[in-house]
Amino acid sequence: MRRAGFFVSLFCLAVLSFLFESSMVSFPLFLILGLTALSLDRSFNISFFLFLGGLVVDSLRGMPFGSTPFFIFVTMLILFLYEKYFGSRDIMVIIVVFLIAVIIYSILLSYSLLQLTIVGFILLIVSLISMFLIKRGIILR
Amino acid sequence: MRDIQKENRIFRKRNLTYILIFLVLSSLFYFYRNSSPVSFFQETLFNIFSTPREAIYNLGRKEKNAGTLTLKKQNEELIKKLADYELMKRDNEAYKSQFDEATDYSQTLLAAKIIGYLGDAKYPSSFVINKGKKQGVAEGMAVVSKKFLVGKIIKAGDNYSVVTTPVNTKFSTLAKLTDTNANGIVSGKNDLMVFERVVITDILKKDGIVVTKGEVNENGIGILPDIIIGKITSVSKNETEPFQSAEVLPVIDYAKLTTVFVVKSM
Repeated sequence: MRRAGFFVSLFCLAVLSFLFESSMVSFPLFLILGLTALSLDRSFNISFFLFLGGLVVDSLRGMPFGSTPFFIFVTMLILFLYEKYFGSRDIMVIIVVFLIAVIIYSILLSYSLLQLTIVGFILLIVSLISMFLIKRGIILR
Repeated sequence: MRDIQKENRIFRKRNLTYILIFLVLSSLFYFYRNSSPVSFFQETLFNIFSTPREAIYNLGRKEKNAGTLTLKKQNEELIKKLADYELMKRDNEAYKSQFDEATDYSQTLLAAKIIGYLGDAKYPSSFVINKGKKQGVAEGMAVVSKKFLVGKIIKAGDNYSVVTTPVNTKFSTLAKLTDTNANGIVSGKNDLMVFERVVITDILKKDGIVVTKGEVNENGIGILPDIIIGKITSVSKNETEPFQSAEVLPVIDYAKLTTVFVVKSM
């Protein structure tokens, strides 16, 4: 039931990101959504859905077909290898790897670096506040 | 304990297999991105998402301040008039009449809606429009808005096309200055354009209007002459070098563009 809810939420967010990313905003919404979803659930269904979703984004934005799923799975492969050889799932490593992937993806596929910087800065502040709250035991106890 | 470890190992191995399979598939799709099944998939998606994308793109693109809108329109009109005036002054009015020119253009223009963009909203590197090969659009065609150059078609699908703007680093076209007739090449540099390869003896001045020189091929496809590209903001000149250059800013407000016109043929 919980898994179904996760999938439905992911589907709705993906459709919204298709629409906004291909028209109004120049920010890699689907890549971030895909990486976050895969870091939470690495099942075949989610992977397959994100693979298809990546192809949809590439088609709608007129980008080289297959580049978005390629970026998603290369990033996940890097994370996987890190976990295998260092034996840890450090949240900071995940954030840094995601950040680098998003920046490279944005530069290579003509996303707006201005929008990326603004949203990146907001996300950084939110994640720092979240980490502080987690450490203090205020949230996620 | 050993069972849990074994289970974890199997689970991890399975995950790695998924990742590798999808990675290989993505690479295959990338290498065969110009094949017909991929084009069919892209066309179908474009058709499905075309209407909502157009609606979303148009959101927030209306000027809120009526005063600003009027001033911007007046500014555009003045620049257009100045370019027209200088061109007419230089050439013979009999065969260079703007009225005749406008009549020729209107016969070959195809209206298209912008449904997406790449890059910054203010200076996008590309646009996606809702007209393609089925409506007669072909690669290399110029895209205009009033008398201003919006870009050039670089990819045409059946029902959509990708337009590269003059600020795109992949864009370049022959250009000239309206008042001094200095010739050169305009190429994109992300958020501005550079008017380069202008011989040092020619006169380049600030606020000069740069227009296209014309690049039409034997099929009548290409960029027509005298379409306004932008305005010179600064000139870079060194007497020891054979060429000079100038920075050019686009005159049209890309962020507010919703409808453009494809120049199908002369």
